[in-house]
Amino acid sequence: MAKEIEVILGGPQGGGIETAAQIFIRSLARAGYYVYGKREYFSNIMGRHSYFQVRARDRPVRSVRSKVDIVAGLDAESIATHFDDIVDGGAIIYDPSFVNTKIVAMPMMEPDTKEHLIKRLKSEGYDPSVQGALMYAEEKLNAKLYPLPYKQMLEEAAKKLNVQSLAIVQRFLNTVVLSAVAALIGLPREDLESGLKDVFGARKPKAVEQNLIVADIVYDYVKSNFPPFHKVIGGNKDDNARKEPMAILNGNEAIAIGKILGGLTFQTYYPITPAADESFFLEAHEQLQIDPEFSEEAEILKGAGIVVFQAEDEMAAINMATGAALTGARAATATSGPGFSLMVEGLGWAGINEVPVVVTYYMRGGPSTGLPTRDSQSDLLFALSAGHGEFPRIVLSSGDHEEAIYDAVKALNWAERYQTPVIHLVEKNLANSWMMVKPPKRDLISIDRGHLVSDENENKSYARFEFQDNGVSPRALIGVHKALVWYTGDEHDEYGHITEDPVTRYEMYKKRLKKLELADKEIPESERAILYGDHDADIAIVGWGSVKGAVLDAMDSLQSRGYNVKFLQIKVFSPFPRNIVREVLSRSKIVIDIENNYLGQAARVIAMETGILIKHKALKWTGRPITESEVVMAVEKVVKEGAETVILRDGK
Amino acid sequence: MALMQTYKSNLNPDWCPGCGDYGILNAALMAFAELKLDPYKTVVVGGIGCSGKIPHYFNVHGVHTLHGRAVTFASGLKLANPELTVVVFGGDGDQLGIGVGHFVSVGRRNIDITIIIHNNQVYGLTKGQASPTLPRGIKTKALPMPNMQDPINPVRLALASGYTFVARGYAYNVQHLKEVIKKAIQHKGLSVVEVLQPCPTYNDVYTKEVYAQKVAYLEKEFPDWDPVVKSPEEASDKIKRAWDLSDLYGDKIYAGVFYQNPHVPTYEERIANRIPGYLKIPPAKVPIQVNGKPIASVEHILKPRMV
Repeated sequence: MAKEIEVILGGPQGGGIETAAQIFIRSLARAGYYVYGKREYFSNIMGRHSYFQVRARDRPVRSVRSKVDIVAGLDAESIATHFDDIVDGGAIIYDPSFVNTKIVAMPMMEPDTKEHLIKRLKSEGYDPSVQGALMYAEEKLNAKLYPLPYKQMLEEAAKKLNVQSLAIVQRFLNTVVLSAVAALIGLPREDLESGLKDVFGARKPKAVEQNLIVADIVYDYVKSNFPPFHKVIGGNKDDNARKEPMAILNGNEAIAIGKILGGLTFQTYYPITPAADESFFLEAHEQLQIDPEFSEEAEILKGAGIVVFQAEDEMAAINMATGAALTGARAATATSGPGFSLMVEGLGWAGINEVPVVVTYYMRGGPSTGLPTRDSQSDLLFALSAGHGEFPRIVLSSGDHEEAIYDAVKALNWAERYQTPVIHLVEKNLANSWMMVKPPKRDLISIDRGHLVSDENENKSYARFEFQDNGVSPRALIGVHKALVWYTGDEHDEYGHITEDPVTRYEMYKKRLKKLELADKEIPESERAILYGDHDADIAIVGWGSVKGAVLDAMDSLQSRGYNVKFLQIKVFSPFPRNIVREVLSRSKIVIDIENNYLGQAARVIAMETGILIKHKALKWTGRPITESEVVMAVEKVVKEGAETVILRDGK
Repeated sequence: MALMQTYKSNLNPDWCPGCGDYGILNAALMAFAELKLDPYKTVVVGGIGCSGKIPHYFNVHGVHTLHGRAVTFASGLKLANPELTVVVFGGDGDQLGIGVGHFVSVGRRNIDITIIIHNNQVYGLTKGQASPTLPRGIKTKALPMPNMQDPINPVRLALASGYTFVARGYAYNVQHLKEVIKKAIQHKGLSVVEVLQPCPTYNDVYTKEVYAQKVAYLEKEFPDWDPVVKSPEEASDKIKRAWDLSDLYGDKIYAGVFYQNPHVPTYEERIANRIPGYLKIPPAKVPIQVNGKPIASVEHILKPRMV
């Protein structure tokens, strides 16, 4: 029987949910499962409701569903928020003291959220309190309630740990809740121990020991006080257990790892959610490590590293990266929508000056500050057209963590090969989700530095923007080659000097844009749009970015419901893979565009590039990622009811 | 002069006759020549405006950037390859108006680059609007009404922002300006030279006649003038003295080196403290591949994340 479990762990921001979830994810992985987890949080440091949704199963998993098996809350607000996020018969773990908390009295819950919740419970005939919410769950969703006395657990822990003050053991509250979940699903203690060791490591052996003592107390209590939960999955040590070693990474880490492999040596940034963690991670790994295969280079490169620079704003960030790129450093910056808005003038400069600079663009909810910590795919059209004037740009997007590693390398390669800015589009949902990833294979990664000046000798007649049939002029690096270069944001001649001459303008303009045609010719379309499933399936879903995970996970259950579905993931939007998209979409009777935005931006690009008007769309703009369940629902609505636009709204 | 010509590109500047930019260009060309800068290791970075075009008139690497952003490009160039000599030229509107955030921020870093401010108090290329250095109440020729905003004093802003070399020159005293620019380039750390510059087309108030009367030289007026901070404790007194003497609107406007502090570590040194190989193999010089294969390893990063 397939083994699968999905859990929401909720609590106040800063209350230990993050740590508990990291331990849980690793424990499940150690138990032989594939695991995926995503983090939802407010733009807030402490106190507001945050939660982790963790899904584990005996085959790869890349998304979450709309309803989970277990909701476990550190505080009353978590229960009030998620009581109806359980599947029929799901479990809710809470402290009995929460029960009397009125929703109106929850200090950190947003007023409109309270209002919606109170109205809803009242209209269904329940008291607007945790008590009412739990009764609703019990009566309407057949919830199994697990009132675990948290304080009693902590008091026992204090005794066993020989700690006088309850305030000190309070920090184990997250472990109490996590252990209750672990006990309910029958997670073997040794796997929990491994998870603890993975998180606390050799640095804090005492923490592992203390947390295990707490876990034992909770395991015992749950076993002797509650009836067993119907979804005891235990460990997954059978034949179908995961054998391959995998890395657990979040999206920020995956991209940083890709950038390091891709030879990045200069990264700039201005702090912004959810991009900044990538730069932090790079800075933490600023010392370059060289693969043992290259011992000679390792000797030369002793002590070399990656410069990570926190600039005063995003204009400085992109321009510094551009300046660095002129010297030959592989340079990039990472930002989100508001930061990218500021980068636009710099992007144009890099465009007209044919500078290989990479912008990793983590989309979040806009416009303006919008939803700073929530997911969105609403910046595709912006990324494609940001900047006045016309210049070539490559826009690629990643569907998951594993892709993101390789794509980060590609972005750096393409930037240099086509001497133009590359925008690597990802989302908050990638940044703040954890996935199991096959370690990057070195032989799948190559470095292409593009057309550089080959002559080491002095070249007094060098012209940086020399006209070439394919648009790519040999690039001399400032400080490396003995050839002088001039750059200007004005239109320029082959030497890089300002000109307004119409003949030169004609040629230089064309030269720049030819590079996009070259990229279109050289980069196989099959690398720019990926087809999953049966080519001749009746139903084609088209999507991009993190929609991929939800769709791929949904394909199995759609299949079992009798729908023959294929998925076309568009990865590169410029240059657009028009032939493959036209061909793949025209073979299916029903085409559904699924996106995390209001306008159906990818569908618009498809229309623009191929002339295909997609009739059916499933769209979401609540700031929460699209779930597997929503994909299934959307397909059913389209096929059964012929719905043209299916609106998706799941998730808290 | 022959040597100076080798630093000059074959393009003719398109500035108005009598523009102070010519003096600044000539002073810089002479400074480059006397310092024997390697043209292949030297970058002139310009902003936008009349002065911004200056990179095209040098026979060294030239990067003509965006309005107000020259120092950001310059910072990237320098930190990616600290072997480069990087000199930024930009106007008062460029560096103290649209780019003032960068002008202040770069002061926190002491990156070893030189910034030259062409201060003519007007936006020339857009036909004479008031720049951030034009005093309140002044009505230059093109202004429909007198200026309503107070001026920034570039020297004082630089002192307050942490610049470790702060000087002022006058575009029509090319010999003096050349010496100041030479010192600025030789200073290890962030240096700025404010250059007083008449705009014969749009500034009919602060003209060369006015400057001829007012400009005085620190080293001449104060025979014991010594702007160099000898020990870190001296810095505050030297900054105060520089501040007091850097007024722009009295009877005298002093030029010369106001302040120089060699005791602050450069940003490059700060990086090298953490990344010991940085100065020898900076980001620009890391051989990132061998026959197309990446040489960086991420094993140490993956290992603790493996399950």
